[in-house]
Amino acid sequence: MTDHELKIPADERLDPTVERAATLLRRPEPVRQAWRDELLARVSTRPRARRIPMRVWIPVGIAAVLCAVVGVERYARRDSGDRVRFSVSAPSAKQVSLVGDFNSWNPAAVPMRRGSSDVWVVDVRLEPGRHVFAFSIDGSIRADSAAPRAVEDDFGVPGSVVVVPGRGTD
Amino acid sequence: MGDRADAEDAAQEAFLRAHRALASYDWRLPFRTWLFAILINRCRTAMARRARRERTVVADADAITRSFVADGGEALELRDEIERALAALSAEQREAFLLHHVEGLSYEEMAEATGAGVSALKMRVKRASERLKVLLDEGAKVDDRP
Repeated sequence: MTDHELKIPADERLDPTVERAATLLRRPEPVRQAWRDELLARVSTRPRARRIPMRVWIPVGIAAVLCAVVGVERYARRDSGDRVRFSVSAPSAKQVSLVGDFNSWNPAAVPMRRGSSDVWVVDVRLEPGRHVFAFSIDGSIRADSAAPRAVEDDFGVPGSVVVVPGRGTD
Repeated sequence: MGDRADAEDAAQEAFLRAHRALASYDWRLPFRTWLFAILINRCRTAMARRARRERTVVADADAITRSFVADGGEALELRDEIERALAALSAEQREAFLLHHVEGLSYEEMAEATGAGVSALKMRVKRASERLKVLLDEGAKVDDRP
């Protein structure tokens, strides 16, 4: 950078002694040819890809295998399903659905279909464990008379218990 | 930086890093400021490394430095004096003074490149200029002694 290129405001003008020093410092430094050659050589050399050491690869590999095993196991469990068939006899009912702790007791979540002999049926997949359920028959909640009665009544309504076999329930 | 070899290394590293980072450079920003930011970082790193090494500067290093500069004897003497005065400044003051009064960066460009605030930079430049005047005047008085 030369003097005339500098845009120093008038109020920042340096003391003449310091200005003389700054002027000298502004003089371009000669660049050594060896330095120039080295820079060009380094620029034209592609940087080596950083190799990931084995001490990183091994735990990452183990973690990946574990994730894969857990994922496949979960997927298989979900896919194989713990399908449970619920049925209730309600000849005069117009609308029947299954409610329980697995669907937040929402009557619209699992509607049942009318089968033969006025028996309403639905198949649902449930996670292994204990579930409390009931039937919503035209808006009224009824426990399943064929299943054990739940000790506690969720939401203050009658409920029955179904136990789906699996981990922790065997 | 007070050492030509260190300055050359820092400059080379800065160019190399800039070259490798060109793909990620945002062309809407001023190139000079971007390049200076890289260079300032390299210089700071090199100086911190040098401080850790606690390297002793030997007289021969000065002789080697001079051999690269095609300059007259008087200019060399003055340059030595200036470098001594610059070395007496704090790193922040020296950096601010050189960026503004030697490299010609505006305070806004300096703020962008260094990460410091404009008012802090102005204060550093002012203090550096005042200190340099004192140091250079003192040096001149010593030289004038019979």
